[in-house]
Parts: sequence; C-alpha cells; structure tokens
Amino acid sequence: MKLSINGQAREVDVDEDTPLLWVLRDHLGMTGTKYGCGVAQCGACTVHVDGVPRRACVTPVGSVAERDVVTIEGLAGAEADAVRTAWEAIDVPQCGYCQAGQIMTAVALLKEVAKPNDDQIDQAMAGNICRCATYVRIRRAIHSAAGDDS
Amino acid sequence: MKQIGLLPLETYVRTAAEMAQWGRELPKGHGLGIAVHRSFVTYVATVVEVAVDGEGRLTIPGVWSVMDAGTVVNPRHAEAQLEGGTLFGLSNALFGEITAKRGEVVQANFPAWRVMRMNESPRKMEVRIVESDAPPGGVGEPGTPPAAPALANAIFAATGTRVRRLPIFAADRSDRIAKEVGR
Repeated sequence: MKLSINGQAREVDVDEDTPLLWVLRDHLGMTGTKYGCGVAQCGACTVHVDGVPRRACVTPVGSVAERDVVTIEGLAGAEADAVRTAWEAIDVPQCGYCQAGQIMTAVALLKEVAKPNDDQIDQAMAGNICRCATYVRIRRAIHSAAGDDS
Repeated sequence: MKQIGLLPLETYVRTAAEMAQWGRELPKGHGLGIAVHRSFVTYVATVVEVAVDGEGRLTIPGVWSVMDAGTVVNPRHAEAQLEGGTLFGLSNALFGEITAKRGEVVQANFPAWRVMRMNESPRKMEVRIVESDAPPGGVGEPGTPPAAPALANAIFAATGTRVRRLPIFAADRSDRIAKEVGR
C-alpha cells in the first residue's frame, strides 16, 4: 500500500484495516506518535490527515491511502514553530507521554483559529488527556503561541 | 541549617488564604475551601474555589496553592509539579474510582475511568514556592493530598452539603451536587 507520510511517499505491506498507529510505529519505526488507550479516548495518538486531527489508533490505514498524513516528526510551519517555542518557554511537559498528541491538536487549532479564547482552547483540547495534568500550562502556551501573552 | 517545617501549619494556611483573597465577596453559588498537609517532608496549603449552579453542576474556577519544600533546586519545575499534583488530586477526588470484581479491576480503560480534562481544569491557577534554605523535601506528590479536602470544603461552603465519600462523582452516584434546603 502506498502512503504519504510527512510529505514522503512510503510503501508498506499491511492489511488495509491495520490501524494507522501501528503502521507508523511498528512498520515505519516512527515512535513519536504514542499509543495511549487504543479506543480514541485519550488523544495521545493524534496525527493530521489532510490537516485535520485524527486518532491514529482507530484509523484504518486503508482509509488514508492517497491522503496527506503528518505526524509529530514532520509537523512544520509557523504555527508548529510557535507552539514548540511556547511549550519550551513555559515548561509544559512533565512525563511527556501525551505531549505529541497535545501539540498536534494545538497546532491544528491555531491553523483554524489564529487567536483562540479559553472556551475555544478548552473545546479543541478536551479530547487530549494529560495524567500529569499540565492543562493550565497547555492553555497558557497556546495563548503564548498565538501571540496573546497574558 | 534551619530544619524544614519549623513554621507552623498556620503560616501556610494564611498564605494560601491571602493568595485566594479569602473573605472576598463571592458570586452566588461559589464557595472557597482550604486544606493543609505535610507529605514527603514538604508542606502544601491549597484553596479551591467551586461554583455550583442551580442544577447542581460543579465547576472549579480557581485554585491557589503554596508549597514549602525547603531548598528548591529548580523553582519552575517545582511550580509545574505543584500544579500537576494538585489537579491530579482534584481529578481523583472528582472521578477516580477504582473497583474490583472477581479479582479484576472494573475500570480497564478511559471509557470506564474518567479523568479531568482541559475543559474541567481551572481557568485560574496560582502557585507559590516558599523560599527556604532548609534541606529539600519532595515536590512531585505533596500537591495531591490537600486537593481533595480543599475541594470538599469548598463544596460545603457553596452548598451546605458535606462530602462524605470519594470520589464525588462515582459511577453509582449522581453527577450533580445536592444542595441543602435554603442555600
């Protein structure tokens, strides 16, 4: 099966119903995308499919053939740079396990809404669990990445 | 060298109360609760503000927390740990039910085991680290123990209802806070 991952053509020999997460992690060795719950409840496995956040753990790889898949390894652009800078400056991660998914969702939000308010941030990020509970810092870092320092 | 924890608990309670502006006029349905605890040689006092609407729905608009962990090597990380430990405690007090059936934990994954999410976390959160040259205590977990009693006290202040069992929103209980008559 032919895939487009982070702008590169990749070919993998897998069943069409294999979850995208396991193609990324096991077949392509791209372990930045994390396995959390396996049932689309925690957001740790979030990737972008044609720019939209998707849970890779419940996405059959056959459904993303000929579509643009972007993972944390290939995340690029002004919003991604701003998010990475803010995440570092504000010391957001603790254990770090959920953070790839948090960043994928945050960047997708900022591409959609340049200066989100707290309600828009909460709504967009509610699907990403953080057991270290870094939520207050994630919210602040998204405002900071949007150039909205408060 | 000064020993950690020579200050009485009262100092931390007063600091947390000041941070939260204890005694200010609160909106209808709001309440403040406070708690202090020592664990891992570290003191933490926490104030939680809750809001309970007319239907008994609970939100947590604000949390204030002060920590005396003796000498702190990396204050920014200590602050982050205090925030995380406190919210972890609130999450467990609200939802963190673990039960066993025939030797197996019932809550096997997130669909059956609710945790605090971004939209349930406080909009206002302020933490303060006490400056001290005493020997260092822990900073990872001490935020957790005072969170539940501060939350339960805030619910009492807001509604007159005493929380007697945790988690507050266990699966076999209502997702609303009952109010005492006349509140």
